[in-house]
Amino acid sequence: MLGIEGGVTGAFAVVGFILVQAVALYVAYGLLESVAKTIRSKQVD
Amino acid sequence: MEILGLTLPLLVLFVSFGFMVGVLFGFFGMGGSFLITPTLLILDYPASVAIGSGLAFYFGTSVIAVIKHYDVGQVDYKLGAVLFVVLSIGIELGSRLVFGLEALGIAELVTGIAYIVLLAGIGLLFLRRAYNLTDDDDDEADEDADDDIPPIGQKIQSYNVPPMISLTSGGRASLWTISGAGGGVGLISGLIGVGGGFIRMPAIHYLIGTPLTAAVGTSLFAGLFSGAFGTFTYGMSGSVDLAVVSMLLIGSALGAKIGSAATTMVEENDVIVYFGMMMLFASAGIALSELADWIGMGGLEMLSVLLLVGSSFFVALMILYQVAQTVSTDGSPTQTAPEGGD
Repeated sequence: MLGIEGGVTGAFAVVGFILVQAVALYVAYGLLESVAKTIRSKQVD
Repeated sequence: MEILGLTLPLLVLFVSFGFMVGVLFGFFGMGGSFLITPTLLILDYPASVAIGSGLAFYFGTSVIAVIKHYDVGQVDYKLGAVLFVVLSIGIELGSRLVFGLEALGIAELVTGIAYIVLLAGIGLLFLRRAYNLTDDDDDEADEDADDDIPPIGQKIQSYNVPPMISLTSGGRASLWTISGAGGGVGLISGLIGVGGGFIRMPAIHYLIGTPLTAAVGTSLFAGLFSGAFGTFTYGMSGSVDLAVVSMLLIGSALGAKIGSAATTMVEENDVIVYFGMMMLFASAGIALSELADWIGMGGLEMLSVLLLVGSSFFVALMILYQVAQTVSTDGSPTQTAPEGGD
């Protein structure tokens, strides 16, 4: 199991880690989507 | 070979499972995350890690969904903040009720029955909605069916006991109604140990009177803090498996994109039927699991897992199949639904 040791600091670290990962994934997949759309529109043209 | 403490098959399983859950979440705006905890339990994770990781995953998906809804301005922050407070009180009361029932030795039975009744009820509601949609062919009638508030909802919305709160959507709602709806939903969430989006969103729409699109965003906003609070609580005891949560999130963020885009391509009526049936199968699965515990039959336990996880995979695959079919037939570019498929 990959975890962070407990305690208040550990709990903040867990929440922060998930928050950052979620935002990073949102941005990354958003970029991926826009790249895919650009490629597709170029193909249509 | 192990990556982040997970074997390769487990890693693939979590990413693909997260993807399927994400497709469901993106399409319906709810449903799916309640599968994580039972699945981790089946994979022999300790109960505290299964619940803690399930809540952390729910928190992560809520973050992504709220950012998306923030982009299109569909969150009532004031209502969300009030709901967070009453939801937290409800969750606390629900968890105390569980401890009380545990002392009486009937906690598992009561929570199991609550889960079965809730999922079956929601499943039947969806099937009824699909039946109504079939009756009304034209689009106008479809919209009417969406906004059809049942008489009990209309009666509750009509109570104007002060203090009243102005909603971003333009209406007003009594703080007592909000507290009753939020507290009730929180109680159920605390009792059965789930995020509760599948009951919170309908409660905000039908009882408080928030329009459907804003109800989804506000429900997610309130749920975000509940998820963060739950993650923090379990994080305090080191009961969140970050590798599991990360893999699930990687899959679900992609799945949610596709599920959300699918709302513009897939015939809604078909998928409502699948979703209703999925809920009924999940309810039957939990009923079988309870029965297996009661009469001590291991075979029934496996069947319950098949019903619970298999039916969800089936619905997600049906959505993906219809997307693939539409894309190959039309060749039309994919467009993301502005409301996130809710």
